[in-house]
Amino acid sequence: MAVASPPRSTQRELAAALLDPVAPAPPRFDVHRNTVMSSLVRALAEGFPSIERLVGREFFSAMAAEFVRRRPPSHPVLLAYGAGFADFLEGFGPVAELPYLADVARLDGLRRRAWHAADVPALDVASLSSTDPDALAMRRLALHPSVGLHGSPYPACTLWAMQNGTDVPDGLLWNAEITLVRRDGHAIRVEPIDDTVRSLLDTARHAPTLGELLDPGCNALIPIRAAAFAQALRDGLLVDAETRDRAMAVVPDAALFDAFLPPFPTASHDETSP
Amino acid sequence: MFGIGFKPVHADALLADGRDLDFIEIHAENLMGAGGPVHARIDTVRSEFALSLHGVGLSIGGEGALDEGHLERLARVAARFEPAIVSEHLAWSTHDGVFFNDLLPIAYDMATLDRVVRHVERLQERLQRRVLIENPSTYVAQAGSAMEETDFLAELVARSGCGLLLDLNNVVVSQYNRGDSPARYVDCYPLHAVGEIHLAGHAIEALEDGTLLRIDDHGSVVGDEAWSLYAQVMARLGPIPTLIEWDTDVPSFDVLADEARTARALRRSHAMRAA
Repeated sequence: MAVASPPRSTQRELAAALLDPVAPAPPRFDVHRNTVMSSLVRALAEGFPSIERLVGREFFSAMAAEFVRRRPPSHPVLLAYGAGFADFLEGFGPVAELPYLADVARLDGLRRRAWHAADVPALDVASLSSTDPDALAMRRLALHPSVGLHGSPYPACTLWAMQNGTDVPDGLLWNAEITLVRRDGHAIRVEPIDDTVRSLLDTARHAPTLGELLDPGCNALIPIRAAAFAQALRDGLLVDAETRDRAMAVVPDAALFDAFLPPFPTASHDETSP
Repeated sequence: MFGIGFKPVHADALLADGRDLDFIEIHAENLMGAGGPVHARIDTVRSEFALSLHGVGLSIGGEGALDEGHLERLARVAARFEPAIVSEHLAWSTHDGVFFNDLLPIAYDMATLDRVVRHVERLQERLQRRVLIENPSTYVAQAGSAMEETDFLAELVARSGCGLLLDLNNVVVSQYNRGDSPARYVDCYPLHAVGEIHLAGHAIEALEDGTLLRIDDHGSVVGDEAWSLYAQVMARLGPIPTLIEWDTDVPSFDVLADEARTARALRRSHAMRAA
């Protein structure tokens, strides 16, 4: 059972043949082709479970294989493979009739990002009240590393929830939704938020002082901003910016999962319903 | 020392019933998130067991330069989790910035040896420790190979100072696929450098031309050929950390733990016979 002597192959030629089933390759090379494709499709299925449920396993595998051929991994951390999958879905003809699919995929991406995000203690009321007022005014705040937001012209949050066994008491209303993804202990929460919370988090992502964060720019909005701040504190969305920077400095790769962050959503009244 | 590969689905059973295991192996790339439940789980595991960090993505045999970005990730994971053992593969998996998630075969010649030695030296320098390099499963003979795999590994050890991870299932798979004898491989292999042994099962597939191909799927109990090689190695070596791998159709925790117990029992009976 001796292995037939193959033509001389450099790694470049073999690499080109791995994702191309008809390129010339040594005998038995299909073992590698099969491993490469099936393992990468499986990584996408694990990363985008809502999409696999929405389109079915067989269709998902065929679609994922096409993505693998167009956008193979650019690094060896498969936990963070597939950041371009949502954009790919937007341009993939066979799912053109499911225009919300890409946004649901973005929520799967944010869920994965939140799951692997750095551990940074949430800001708590006790630490705010025990800091002296001058130091408190100087202290900069930031979003918890697990926090991700996404704005969709579709009810992406509700569609995501329906694929993930979450009760949707109001049923599916075909409205634009802003979604907040965050880690809560060892669980990931994927929830719709209103514009007051979105606006607060928009300020918080630029490392404001507490004073800047609480200032909505107009006196009439102060109570609303204060209520959003209370919700953000309760949900653990805010951290001390310095503590966050220290934690991020030692993680394996701080930028790896940020490729899953969609553009920060604009105010909800800017969204147009289809 | 006897251990099993970490499977998230086994985590609770491992912590409840894994008392007779000594170490747990985890793929380094699975710890390259920034934190969260995965890191918390492994922190719990390593409070009970020694940890072996098994890299699958550094592409040490690649034609291009070593990926310094990935090396940095690996170094940070090693600093964070303080493993007892760090290992990688004699293979390539990345070319021209594309990662293929497979362990692809390298040519065994002097040019490749020079390159692999440089990559292993750089790896050990960055991690500030000795790293074990694992022999691959091969299906395709690499053209241009002028050396035996065992000679290549012996030279790599002599020049880089690395240790070796001897995967006995890979020996069975590769030697049958090459039409050669697994026992002869072990006879020629630089056993003095072995720091860990892997045991696993593999699949046998009939090709269209009627020949049989052994496929390293880690999807069944350890085969008889691998056990007999294990006995052959034990006759010549003292205790070596031994790991059971199972990655496809993962069974219950008890099945894996039983395989590790079998390895321990074999080791014990050998030690008694030698005494």
